[in-house]
Amino acid sequence: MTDTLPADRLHPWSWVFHAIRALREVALPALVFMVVGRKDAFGPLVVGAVAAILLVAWGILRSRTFRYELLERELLVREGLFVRETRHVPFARVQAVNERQGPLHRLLGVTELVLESGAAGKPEAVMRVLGVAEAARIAGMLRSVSTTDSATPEHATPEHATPGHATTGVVASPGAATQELLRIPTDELILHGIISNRGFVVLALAFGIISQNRELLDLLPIDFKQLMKDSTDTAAGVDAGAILGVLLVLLFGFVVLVRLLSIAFALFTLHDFTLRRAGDRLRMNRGLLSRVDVSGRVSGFQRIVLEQSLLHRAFRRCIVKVDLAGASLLGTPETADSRLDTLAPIATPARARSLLQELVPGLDLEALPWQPLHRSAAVRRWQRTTWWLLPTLALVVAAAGLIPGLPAAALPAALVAATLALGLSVMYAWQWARWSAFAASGGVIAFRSGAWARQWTLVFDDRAQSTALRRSPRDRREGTTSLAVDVQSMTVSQALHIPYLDAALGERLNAQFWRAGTSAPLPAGAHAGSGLR
Amino acid sequence: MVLGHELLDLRWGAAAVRTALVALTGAVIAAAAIEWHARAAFARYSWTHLPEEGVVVHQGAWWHKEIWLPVSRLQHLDVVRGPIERAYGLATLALFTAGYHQYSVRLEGLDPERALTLRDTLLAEIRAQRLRAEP
Repeated sequence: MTDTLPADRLHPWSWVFHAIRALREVALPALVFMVVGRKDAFGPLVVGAVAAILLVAWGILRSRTFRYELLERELLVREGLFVRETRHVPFARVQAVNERQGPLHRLLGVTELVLESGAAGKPEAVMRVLGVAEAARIAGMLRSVSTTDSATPEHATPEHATPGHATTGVVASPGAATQELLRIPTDELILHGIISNRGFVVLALAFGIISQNRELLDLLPIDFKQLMKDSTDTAAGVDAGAILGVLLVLLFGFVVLVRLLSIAFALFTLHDFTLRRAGDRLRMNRGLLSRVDVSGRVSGFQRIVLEQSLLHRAFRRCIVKVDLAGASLLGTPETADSRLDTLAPIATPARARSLLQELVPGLDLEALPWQPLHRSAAVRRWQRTTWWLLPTLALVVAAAGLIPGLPAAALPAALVAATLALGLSVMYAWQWARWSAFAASGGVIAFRSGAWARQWTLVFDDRAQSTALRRSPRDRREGTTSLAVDVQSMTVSQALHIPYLDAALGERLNAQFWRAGTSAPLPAGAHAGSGLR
Repeated sequence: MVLGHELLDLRWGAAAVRTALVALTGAVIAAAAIEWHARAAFARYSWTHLPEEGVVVHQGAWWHKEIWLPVSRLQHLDVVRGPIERAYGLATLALFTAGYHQYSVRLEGLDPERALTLRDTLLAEIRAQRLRAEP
């Protein structure tokens, strides 16, 4: 193997970000442990100084040993301190080009560039960090390459589903016009904040920090000890109604606080959310303090998911998510939250429908020929809840009846509650079975499910890696089957799983995947594997 | 004293025998269940190679599962022979895809010759398909 030395180095400030990352991953827990564990004043200072020196040294070593060079058709990367790794990343293989810029990055005029291929697992190259102009040069080159290899956006047809091989070199393509697909205005972001419950994330974070440091607790303007003392002193003289009132006000205040935090969170992270398309390449920008600029290929779409919680339904909105080839759950935390996984954080159903129509020609969510699940679906869906619900309810009723000292009304109340819960579970299962349905249209297989919160899952028949038909003993009795589809993306559960399918229909769906899989030899992004192939 | 000892011994012995019997019965039932399951799984287990198309695997004793794996999705193939397999003259052919939840499918208990032939056939099919895709 020839060991060519790539010409370019990272930005001079790179060591800062390597050090910060090392601090976050390894050093911070150790540091906190040492500082908290030791009580003399001298210890923390020394430990801190040593740690700082080590971190800076680590940062400098890591960033100085990273070299790269843009060749004619590929990016050459060499990195590593002890184990030196040389990687050739062909431009054609790069599925996603992701940039992330935190406040510090912006202050220093740098950005972090992550390149991903269709392979699962680690990104192909993490360039931490590059000057803004240099990152733009690399990203621009990669984007122009991938727009040339599929000038036709009709990726759904098998003939065009072979990107990554039609490329004939680096050709900038001014012809592929950039088209804005979606921009989210601020009022929609506020609505997104109200609907999504991300306020809890902020609150949990704040709570975690405060609970770790007792000193911070003293900084709060509330004196907890005094508060406790006051409440015990006055508890005797206050009637239950007042306590209930105070509790309700507190609860209301808490809910409002969480929603306000959630709105702030949405405004910060999703500020100026834009989704654009140039040929096969999709690009998404967002963020107020931390700017995120990520991209992916439409032909690399493995699955599209629409979600609607109860609140979404109340406001007539939904979320549109996407799974791209090689989506790495295992990636570094930084890359995990800055990749193209959401097409629209909030959109009206009509907007989502037109967005999907633009991305997948011929797909119309409204016009899909929905077919219901097997008639046994409602009963079986309900039976799935009984194994935990019935014992729980029995326990509650038994507790209400047997624990001495409870008021006489406890048992009837528990019985009523149990009956209500049972009724609700039956209603849920019934509605779930009534709403859940599947459809096959063009090259898209769709499954919608849910009762109160709803979900639509769309997969492409030529992008399945494998399929599985499962039949439990119950399935065999009822003449049903379930269909599971695996795709080239790290989905949390099966990419598509349709339960309670009529056996004949299930086999027909499976046959459609099989036909598409065997007739389209290489669907988009089917080449996994690293750049070394 | 002696009588007491004998009694004690007897009682201790009776408990031990009882325990041993229960354990033995349990072990026999478990072994029978395992054997039944193994036989049922073996009876159910089958695979088909559809030339130029792919491989279909049937498995599962109670929970039947049919896996459909097109040739075009195969990433690489491994022939594996562990120590037990070698002792019985068997081999396993592992088929890998670029998927996530079901990235590998194993064809187990193959005759080693057969495993190698099937691997070569599948490799040739994969190569032919790739050539057709990128002329």
